[in-house]
Amino acid sequence: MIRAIGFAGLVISLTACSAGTHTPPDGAEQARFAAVCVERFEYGEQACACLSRRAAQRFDAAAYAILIDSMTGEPIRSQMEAAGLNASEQGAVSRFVVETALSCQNET
Amino acid sequence: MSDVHVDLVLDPVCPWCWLGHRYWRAAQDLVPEIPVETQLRPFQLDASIPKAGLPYQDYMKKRVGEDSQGRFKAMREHLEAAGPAAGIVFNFDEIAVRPNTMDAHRLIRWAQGQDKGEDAAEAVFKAYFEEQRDIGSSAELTAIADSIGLDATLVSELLATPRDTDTLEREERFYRSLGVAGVPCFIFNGAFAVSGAEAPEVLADAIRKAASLPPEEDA
Repeated sequence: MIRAIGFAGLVISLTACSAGTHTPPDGAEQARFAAVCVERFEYGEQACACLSRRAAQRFDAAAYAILIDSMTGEPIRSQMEAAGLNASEQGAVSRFVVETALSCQNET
Repeated sequence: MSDVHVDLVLDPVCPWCWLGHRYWRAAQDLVPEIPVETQLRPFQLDASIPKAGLPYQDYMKKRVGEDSQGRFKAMREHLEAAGPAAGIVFNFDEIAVRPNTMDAHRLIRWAQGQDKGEDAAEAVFKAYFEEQRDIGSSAELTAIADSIGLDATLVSELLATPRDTDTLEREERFYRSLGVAGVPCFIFNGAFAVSGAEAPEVLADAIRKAASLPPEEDA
């Protein structure tokens, strides 16, 4: 019986076919996410890896890069506008870490 | 060391899945001492495609979009380069139809019941990527069934019904709910997953890891 699965490694594979037109962030970008997360927050490496993985599943490469910038404390409103994110996507980026951190901490 | 059960989630129109399946077979040869059971699971990269399919080239252009052409081209080149070493010849330019894959999944499931699931998957991949056949067509799927020793008449009759469609759709929703967003995806003993057509050595390591894990007790 499968209840929950852990994805081996941090990187969302680029040797896979993905549903939709979602262009995932590459491995280096996912590593950057985890590094910034560990540096800025006190979630720990495992929870940050979980956050990075879920963000890679949720956002495409452009939104993912903006999310990393948001974690460094940079204002991201203008970036989101420039990237063409609609209001719903902007809200999802802005809320992602807060909304996801708890479940990632519980998972780890 | 214990036996390893792997749920291999795939879609027959995904070229990485064919490569991944070949790598998976090679990985098992690297660890012959560990018994491995493989269960093929359904995933539809685009379930919205009509049963009759869509023109492949137009569909792919629309799907990847103008901005992603470079990435798409690079991916195709990677696949065309990696294919021959795995005994695969991809020829994307000649594919005419992007099919709906539910019926192909149904055939694979029925074949699995006869212990021929992986043979069916290989035959479907080959029909689509090498022979440019329409694997959404009942006639083609019936011919494929015949080629691997299934009862073609029975398969033809079953394809004319919705038999097992609900079950496969439910399974697909389940794997999506677990976080499977791309295929191939190898789920080891229901505990951890490897996403993508990873090299045989990587998959063999995953088999060893799964075999070393204590068996999970169901509540």
